[in-house]
Amino acid sequence: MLFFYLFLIVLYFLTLVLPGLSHPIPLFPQGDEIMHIRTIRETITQGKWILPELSGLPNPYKPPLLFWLGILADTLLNVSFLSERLVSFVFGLGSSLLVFQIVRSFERSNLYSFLLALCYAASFGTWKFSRLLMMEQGMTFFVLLFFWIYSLYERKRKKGFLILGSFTLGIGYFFKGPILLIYGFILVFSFFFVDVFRIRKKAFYLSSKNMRKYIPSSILLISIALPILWLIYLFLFEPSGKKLIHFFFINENAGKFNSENQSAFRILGGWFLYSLPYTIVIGHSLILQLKSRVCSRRTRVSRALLFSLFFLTIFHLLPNRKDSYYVVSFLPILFISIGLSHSFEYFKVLFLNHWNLTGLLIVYLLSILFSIHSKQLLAVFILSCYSVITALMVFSKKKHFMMIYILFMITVPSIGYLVVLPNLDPVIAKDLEEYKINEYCFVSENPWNAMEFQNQSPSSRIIYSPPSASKHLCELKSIPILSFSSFYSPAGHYQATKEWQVWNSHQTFDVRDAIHFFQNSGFLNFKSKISLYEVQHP
Amino acid sequence: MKKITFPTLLFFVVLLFHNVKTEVNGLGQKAGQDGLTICPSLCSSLVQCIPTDLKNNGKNKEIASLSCEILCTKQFQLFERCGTEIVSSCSEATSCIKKNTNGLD
Repeated sequence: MLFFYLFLIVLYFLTLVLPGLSHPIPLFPQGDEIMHIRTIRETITQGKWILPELSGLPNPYKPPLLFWLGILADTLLNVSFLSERLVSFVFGLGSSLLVFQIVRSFERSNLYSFLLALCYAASFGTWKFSRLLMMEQGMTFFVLLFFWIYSLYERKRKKGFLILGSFTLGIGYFFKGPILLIYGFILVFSFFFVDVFRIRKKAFYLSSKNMRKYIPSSILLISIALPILWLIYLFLFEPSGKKLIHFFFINENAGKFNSENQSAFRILGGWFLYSLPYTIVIGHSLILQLKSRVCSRRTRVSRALLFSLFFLTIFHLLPNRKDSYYVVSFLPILFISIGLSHSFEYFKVLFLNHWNLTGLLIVYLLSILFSIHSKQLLAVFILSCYSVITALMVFSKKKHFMMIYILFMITVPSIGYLVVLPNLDPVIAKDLEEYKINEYCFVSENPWNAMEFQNQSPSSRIIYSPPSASKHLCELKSIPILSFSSFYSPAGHYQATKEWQVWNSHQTFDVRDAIHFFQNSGFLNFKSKISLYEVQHP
Repeated sequence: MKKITFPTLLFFVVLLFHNVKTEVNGLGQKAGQDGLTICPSLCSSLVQCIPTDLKNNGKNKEIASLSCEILCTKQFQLFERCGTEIVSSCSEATSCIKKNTNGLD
């Protein structure tokens, strides 16, 4: 039976996550993916894989592990979006299998562990990041692996597990830097907090007996060994090593405290967004967990996990840079904590909650409205069927758990494939094949737009120019121009020969915009124009 | 007193820290239409700041100018704030840029 559940998780990934992975434009994009893919492809062309390269220089933004894995995938299969994104797909699958194993290891039934693992797999965060070449799914896998190993240490008290855990965190460093080590330490600190900080007679006291139990955990500090070895290698053996270290730690990491201070709601909103469509189930469970008392091994661990989520959220509120997707790496902790706190029977109650079903109905109705607007009749039909079943469940006295569970499980893939896929941006490189142009100038305020186009069209020669330099770089040489800039158009001898409308990658919407929206609903423009300009010979 | 008191206090301290920082002007605004004229003019001044041995090579000047315009387009506030210093002297430009990026270079 165990293998049957494992097979079902794999089957879910193969049928509801894998399709469409090769499409150049992701269903739910994240800007950095363009840079990651560009780095992998450029490194393959250059043949220098130890320090992956971007724009002719070693990539200073991120450590190399994701790039190495992408290079490996491209080498084993062939250079394509599918091969590269398979890296995250495998980590997404691995993370879901780990959720299954972790929940099982706390004496929960295979069925309950499987249903929770599938909830995690079908949440928006997992679905989105298992389909993108981003660090997040790899980091999630290593956070989970570390937690599993640490929970084994707690059970068996063998120091070998701590060494293994340190090694896991050390490898995790190579995805996004010291952040993964911090996640690991926060996890352990949360256990320490639950065990050592006690309340007696309404006052804090520290339990010294419990504190002594944590002395062996200091072994985890050796997790910095692998990163330090890497830094020593960079420092001593790579000509650009010192500059890379300086840029990564000062500009890229410390610099996150120096950019524009983003709203705290981005992190809090991340929890809401990426746990969809299980947000209400999770919220409900968290409230119940906070009200309950620690009375068993399971509830102790679930309380520690709850505190770890709290400390991790606070940690991400410290820098100025606060992206919603930072929460993705510890999203599975939410699902595991449900498994540890509630019995399977209560898990069903959480699902059958009236508000939970109403929430799902609202999600479906909004998706139907969007599909009507974009004239997607198939989507309208299928989503209407889902809505009718959900509405029947909302008002019916006899609610069928498995039916509701499946409705939740297929929500994100259905919206992805039925609503978002038909509305994806056009693949400009494909449209341009008929023009037989080998060289383009790509004029944009953001160099990554040009990288995106280069990823789509590997054989073309792309020259990037900011709008202000285009005259010198492109117009004087009469090179065909692709302009992504709303305010730029080339001089008279050029003429626009083709146009595309693409979704804005960053849509801001503040109070002023809301007022304008009520005054004139047409003012909001979610799309921008890309134009192809060619020289017109008389 | 409940166990949640300590984390709740911590949360409010972090929130206070966050809100104090909100008033500080950050960087990262793109150039827009103004950049079409301002960036080339500021960058032609900044290119004069590259070391003499590199300046003699026309290719180096071209690369420096393009890099400068890319940065100007992406970090327009920084270039606007240091506009006067960039035009007047290389040392003033460097110290203004360092001051506005809190020492990041």
